[in-house]
Amino acid sequence: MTDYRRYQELSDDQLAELIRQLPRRQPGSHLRDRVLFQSAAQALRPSALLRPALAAAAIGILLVLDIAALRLQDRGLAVTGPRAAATVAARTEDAAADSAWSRQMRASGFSFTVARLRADEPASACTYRELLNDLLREGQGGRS
Amino acid sequence: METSRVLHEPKLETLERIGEGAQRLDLAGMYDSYAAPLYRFLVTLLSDTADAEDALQEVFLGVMRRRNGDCIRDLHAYLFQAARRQALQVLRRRKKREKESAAALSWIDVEACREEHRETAMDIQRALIRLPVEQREVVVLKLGEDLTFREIARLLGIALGTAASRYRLGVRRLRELLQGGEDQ
Repeated sequence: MTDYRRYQELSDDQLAELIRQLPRRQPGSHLRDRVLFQSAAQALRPSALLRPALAAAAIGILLVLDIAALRLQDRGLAVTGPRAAATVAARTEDAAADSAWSRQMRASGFSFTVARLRADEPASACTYRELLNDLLREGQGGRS
Repeated sequence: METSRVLHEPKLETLERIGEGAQRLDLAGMYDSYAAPLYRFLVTLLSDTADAEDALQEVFLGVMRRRNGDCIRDLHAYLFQAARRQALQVLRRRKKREKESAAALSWIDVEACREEHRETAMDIQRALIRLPVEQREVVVLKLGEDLTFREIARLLGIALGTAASRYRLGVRRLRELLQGGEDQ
């Protein structure tokens, strides 16, 4: 509830100065990642219709591979390298269900998805930022 | 006190042929230069951080969608006017759904205020949300971004005198609201 008395003596200029002194909000770092990721995904495909699908595909494949790696860890199996991880992931039920995404990504000329998992890196380390970096790298390589 | 003036002159090297290829556009640099003031502008107009984030994303994606030869002469003004269009769209959609944002948010970071200023900051935010959008957008650029009236007029595509009068009316109305002179 506003205590009106505290503002009774303020002039317009004093109020403006008071407001100017208050700290200013900053956007979170997640927003930067989000905007750059979406922009990179948009820039990689010529068709506007496919842009949202590409972004969804990139995230979907990442999730599929993450799930596959977690299952391997649950079973005490070691992931020996990106190719093995991708092979195993492709054989899982989840990967089969989402194979349309994989095909779409391959058709787009992307290879980063198979490199998402490394033997020395837990699946949880696959962050949004890393995915963004991969996308940007792939995009620059593909367009130059 | 942190001040957050952005670069007021567009980066010409990134603007020459902005649609020529996304990889040529320094999107990260553009984001770092302009996102914070745009975000504060959008939060103040929309009084909602999630809507402001969505709108900000659309603004930057809009730049990336531009095609060859579609030059932007003044990136700063282009971004603010695009942000304004996005905000007005959101407000129109809200009006259709008769759904108003319950929170009163603006560019002011209440959490970062010193304890003794927090109540004042909240009072000001509650008053700000009651200003017409045309006044609110000028007030945020003047008091939140320290821009001159000439810069504000350029960014919003309005006359210099209009920017100045909207600001004066806005501050006066704010003071009246804070002094309890008008309850509605």
